[in-house]
Amino acid sequence: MVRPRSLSRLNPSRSNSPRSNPARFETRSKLRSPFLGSKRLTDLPAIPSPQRLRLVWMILLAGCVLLGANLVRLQVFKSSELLTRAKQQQTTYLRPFTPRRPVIDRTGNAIAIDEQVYTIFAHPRYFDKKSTAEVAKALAPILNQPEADLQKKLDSAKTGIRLVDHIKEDSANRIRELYIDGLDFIAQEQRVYPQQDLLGSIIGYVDNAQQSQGGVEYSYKHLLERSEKAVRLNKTGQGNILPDNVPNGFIHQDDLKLQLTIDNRLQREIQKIVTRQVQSFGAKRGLVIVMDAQDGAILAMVSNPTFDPNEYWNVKDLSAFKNWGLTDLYEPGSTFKPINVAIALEAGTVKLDDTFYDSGSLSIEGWPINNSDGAARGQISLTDVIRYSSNVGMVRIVQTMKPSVYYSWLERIGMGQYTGIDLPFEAQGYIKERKTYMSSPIEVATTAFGQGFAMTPMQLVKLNAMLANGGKMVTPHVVKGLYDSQGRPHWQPQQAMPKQIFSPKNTKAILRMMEAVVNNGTGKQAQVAGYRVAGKTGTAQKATESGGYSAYKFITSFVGIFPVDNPRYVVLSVLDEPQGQAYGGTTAAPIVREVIELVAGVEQVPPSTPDP
Amino acid sequence: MLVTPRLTPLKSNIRPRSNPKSATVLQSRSQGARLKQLPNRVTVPQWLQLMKQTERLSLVVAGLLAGGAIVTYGWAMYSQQQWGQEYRQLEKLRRNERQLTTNGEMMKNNIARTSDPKQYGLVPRSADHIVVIPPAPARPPVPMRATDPNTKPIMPIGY
Repeated sequence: MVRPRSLSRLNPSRSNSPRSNPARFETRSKLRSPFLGSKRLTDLPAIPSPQRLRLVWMILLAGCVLLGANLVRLQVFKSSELLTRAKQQQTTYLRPFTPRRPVIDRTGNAIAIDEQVYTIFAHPRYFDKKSTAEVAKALAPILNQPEADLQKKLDSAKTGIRLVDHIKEDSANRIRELYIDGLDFIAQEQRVYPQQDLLGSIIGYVDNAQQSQGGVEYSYKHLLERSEKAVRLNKTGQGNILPDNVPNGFIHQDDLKLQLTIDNRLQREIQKIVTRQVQSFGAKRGLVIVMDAQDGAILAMVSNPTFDPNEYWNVKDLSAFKNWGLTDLYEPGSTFKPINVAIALEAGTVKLDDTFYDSGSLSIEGWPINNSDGAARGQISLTDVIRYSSNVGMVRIVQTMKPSVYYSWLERIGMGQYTGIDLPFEAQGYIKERKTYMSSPIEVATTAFGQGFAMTPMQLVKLNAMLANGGKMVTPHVVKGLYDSQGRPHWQPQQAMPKQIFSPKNTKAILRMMEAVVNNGTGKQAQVAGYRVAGKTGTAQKATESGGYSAYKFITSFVGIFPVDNPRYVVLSVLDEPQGQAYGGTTAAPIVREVIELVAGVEQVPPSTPDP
Repeated sequence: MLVTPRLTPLKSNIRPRSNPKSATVLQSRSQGARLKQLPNRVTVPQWLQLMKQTERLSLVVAGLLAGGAIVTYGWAMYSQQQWGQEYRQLEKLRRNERQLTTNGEMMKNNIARTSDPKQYGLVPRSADHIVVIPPAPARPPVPMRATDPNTKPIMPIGY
């Protein structure tokens, strides 16, 4: 107040009185304060007075008091409410997206992998200036839905409309870029199976609630699921997460993948073969299992029908969910005969050069037993019993053993038990009680040609693997282990040391007998150029629900082992209820031939050499 | 607030009105009375000197510490923010990786299903395409003499 006055004195131009310059006065007078009359504010003398000082102090004090009061209000009275609000804004309960571990096949192709998908909720109340029609028009091309339908949905409520489920990341981003207010994106995990129905029955599926259902997804869920602990973290206003309170190992995610023993290439080609043959024979369903007999690894397991785990809710035929190679029991029929011969050889009641009298038919306890072709071949060798699949010959062989010894052997090879495969819902084999076998010779006789008991196709493969690997009982499995991205194993299933059941000398002899089946017996259609194949046909009548056997419903099967000179692979093919005059040798054997050609190519099996 | 006139040579023509006393002071000074330096007898005690030095040093240290604190705080804030951004980036990359794998597999599956392999000149792998090279028969081991019979063992001469 004082300084302008002194300045005006120092500056002569400023000291001019308004009166001396009327024009200037005119302009200045507009700025005049109404309280000061005609005098300028700057011309007023600044007289320090105690009142003024008090007034200024009071204003300052009042300001301080008000500020203090507000501080008290914020810090004391509203403190708890503000604290909660701040916490809400700054902390986030983060459930880091921990996907299930991927599943890969033997060659490293991804079979099951997690993907982030979004469910979009719409709240038309917050659409701001956009109308529902505009929003529907913008969304329709991205969501691939008719505009009218979308608008109808959007008009149905003011808030909380579930607009679309499971849309992919890129579509969600496209919608985000439209900057529509009032759309809520909820991120979810979804398991994707790129091969569709190729491995449905092996892999199973994971449902909407992230619950594994069936297959490897179920039996190995402890290895596939990762712990999902929610972590409380602080975040900035922009939503960036701050690193304090981040637990150890929060960022680190292992790169482990569950590797199967299944080979995608084999699986795909075999699926084509099975589908084609099931159609051409009008069968109800078909099955092929390929096992590496060295360790019990399943290289391919194709069952028809199957399902696409990506769309498990769309499956009409519920039996498609079943991996019937493990879940359904059947009577193996003649494919079981080589096992019986192995038992008799191992029990020592039969020698390799023994002969048996095949009368074509015989009667036990009044039950007639005939050869399937009705032929009586007279005195025949062990090889011929297998080659011609002689029922009578087989009964003679099994009858050389005491029923108790035979039954003990059946138990020893795992009849009536589980195979122990690492897939869920396996059925237990069925065999009658010991005392039944002791008391009625007909039980022993029917078992001799593979009827009167039941097993899963997988169990038959397991038994035949013993013939291929020199008598060791391996456990079938589909999982190789957990491997990291460099291919280093982190976990491998602990397989018990395989028990030696048969002697290698006997299994070698039986393979030669089975080779005769393919060379000039019932399984000629399984011959593969360049490879020595051992095999056994099976045509078993189906048991009916009312008891007894059906006259026209059969299960035909063929089990092949190759190459005979260096046996390693077991191939089983089963057709359920093929139409017409169907035998294992005519329906299942050609499938095995095609499969062996494939396996030999993929596994690069060197061609066979004759025995020295 | 009072205005003290500034007596610079340029503005000396302006006569200060408000403070006539100051003119007399100037007058007496201009007469050239010599100012005597009085002997400074006050000896600063050592402890005070030390205190003074300590004060100066602590001022510097405090300044440095304050600067350091500001830098550290800024760095901590910045690095936290950076971490948050990097974490987002990591999540995004992981998602992309999964998406890439899935799409690759789906494409492979589509090719395998829809197309005729022969169209691309592809044939299924079969035993016909295996080239088997039989291992050569094991060569008979060549007997090697441990020592040549013609050379005589060198006898120690003994220097």
